[in-house]
Amino acid sequence: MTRLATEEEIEALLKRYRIPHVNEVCAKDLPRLLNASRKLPTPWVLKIISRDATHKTDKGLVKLNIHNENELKKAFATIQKKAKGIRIEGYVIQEQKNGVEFIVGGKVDPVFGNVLVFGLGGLFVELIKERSLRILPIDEKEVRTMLRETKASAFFTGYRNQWVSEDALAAFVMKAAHMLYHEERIMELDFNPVIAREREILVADARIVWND
Amino acid sequence: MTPELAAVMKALTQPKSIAVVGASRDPRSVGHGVLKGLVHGCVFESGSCIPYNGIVYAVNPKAKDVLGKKCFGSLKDIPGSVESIVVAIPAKFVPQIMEEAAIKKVKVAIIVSAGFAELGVEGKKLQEEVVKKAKAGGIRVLGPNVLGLLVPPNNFNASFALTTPEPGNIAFISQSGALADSVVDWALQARYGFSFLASLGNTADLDESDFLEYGLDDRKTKAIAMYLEGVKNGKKFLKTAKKVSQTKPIIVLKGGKTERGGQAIASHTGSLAGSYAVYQAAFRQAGVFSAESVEDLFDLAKALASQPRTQGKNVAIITNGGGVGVLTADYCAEAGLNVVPLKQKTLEKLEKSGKMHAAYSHNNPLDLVGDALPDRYEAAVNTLLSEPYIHSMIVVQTLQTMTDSQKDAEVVVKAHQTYPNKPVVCVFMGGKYSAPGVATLRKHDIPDYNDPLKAVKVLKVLSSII
Repeated sequence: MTRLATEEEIEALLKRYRIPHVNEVCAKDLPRLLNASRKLPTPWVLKIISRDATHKTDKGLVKLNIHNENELKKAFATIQKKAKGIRIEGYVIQEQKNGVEFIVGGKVDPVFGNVLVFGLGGLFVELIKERSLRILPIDEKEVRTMLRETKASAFFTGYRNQWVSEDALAAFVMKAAHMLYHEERIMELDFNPVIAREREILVADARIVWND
Repeated sequence: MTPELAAVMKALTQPKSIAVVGASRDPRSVGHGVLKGLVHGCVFESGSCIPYNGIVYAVNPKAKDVLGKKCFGSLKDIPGSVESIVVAIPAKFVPQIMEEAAIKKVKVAIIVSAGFAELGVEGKKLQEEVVKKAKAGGIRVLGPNVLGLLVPPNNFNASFALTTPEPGNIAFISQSGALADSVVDWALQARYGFSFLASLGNTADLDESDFLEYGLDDRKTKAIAMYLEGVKNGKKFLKTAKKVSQTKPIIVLKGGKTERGGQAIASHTGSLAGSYAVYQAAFRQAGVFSAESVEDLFDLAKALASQPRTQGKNVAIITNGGGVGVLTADYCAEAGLNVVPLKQKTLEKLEKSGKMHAAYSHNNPLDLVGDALPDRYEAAVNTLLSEPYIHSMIVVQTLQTMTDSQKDAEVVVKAHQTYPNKPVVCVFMGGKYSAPGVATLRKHDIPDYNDPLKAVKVLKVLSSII
């Protein structure tokens, strides 16, 4: 049987493998969200937690650029309207980070086993399809070759004023590879987007399918 | 190879004795074709048809003799020992044959018969029964559902391929028997030679990795071309291919590029990492080259079997036609090859040879001008290959009235012998009148293509740009 990992499970897993995540708080309702928001620097991102929703942005279930409580209330109302027919299990409020968006993912291939994917991420990931793949296990040298294979490598020397540290990204991808290789329960993994700015590499959205 | 596998491969590729089970009298039947392949060397004459010099037995309870061979009613009736068998009878009788073969202490069986796992559940059951009986009898199996096995250097053709290609240095391992059969015919015309051709069929026992191991140890094989649709044991393939590719280049054409439609892909990763993409990653990690088409597969195999590899990216282009030189330079740049500017001292050497036309290009591509005779090619090719900063070469020849294609080819062959560590690829454009030169190049294993794009594509691989 496969099932989606819960937010709590993902949080625990990322912690165990020291994979950094954007600051966020989960809450069940609006009052608790408002309360939680006080601990987070603005601007914020509001998302719903639901096992029904893969492409949350497409469905209007992610709101960006929220600067204060009033805007948060408004965003909350809009999301609720859009989420008709979708089971809402809760909400996440995140500190909004800007940077280059990558995807780091993995899956179990029936022939070759664990496969790691790295590429340009974000909203247009499937349109751009700029990615490279490796069969695990791999060493850091191979991870670096993998990173340089895609156009994402332009950011390692700077592109349009955005620079991403190759060392930091390689270390991040190595951790993800390590996790994927050692956690046999993971069937599918999506870190998308991973937001990178200089040496800071953070998971902004994670989705994991367990094989239980 | 492990000693066990080496013994199996020896029994497969040069058995002391081989029996064709199902040696039919009907010339249109598969069994008849297989027997003819062994007894005559091929079904249709190719110029490379030499009878196999091991003992060949025919098994057919309904006939007295076929193709001059006495027929035995069953394997058990054969007086001597039988090392290998080719099975070409209806699928349902194959388990019985395995039992008889076990009693006869047969080492290997090439099961040509179709009607097994490729047909579904019932066929799969039958296949499992065959494998079980073979295993119990200590018999290794190639197939079922194969074209067979051809080893031209051993004059061994245990297949129903229409003919036998020339012996050569390319191995071809194919999951499609029909493709292998067509490649044999095409290779005759293109004058490709093969060290062996193995059709894998349902890989119930021996698989692609086993033949890669054989290719690694086989002295005749210089490059291994493969057509694959899928492997069963990915880890084994990855490990074997990684090992083999360090010594002998492997080129794979992968069938099944497009994903099966209708399957909803839930994750982003799923949509980025389809089965074909995963195979490409595996090939890359194993040091295996990927071909895009059948022609590409053998273009690359030919070049990798005959030419040295280099880490250098500096290519020299020599041409007697400006246009083709420009095209070649464009393709090189796109491929990541460096059309290196010629140094002053190189130009001086060219001048000093006294063979250059006053209007020669003084640059790379080195345009020798249309009236270039072999002596001008000779001066240019040797001067440039002698320069340490030039790592590889493309020699273009367009046809003018005075062009001597034959002699130009000889110039290239000789220069390659003088500088064996630098890859040389030719583009002798034309057809009828360039044929003598093209034949000479082929005879001496200099890759030649009628289109500069192809030449650049293989040079890219030879220059370790993947």
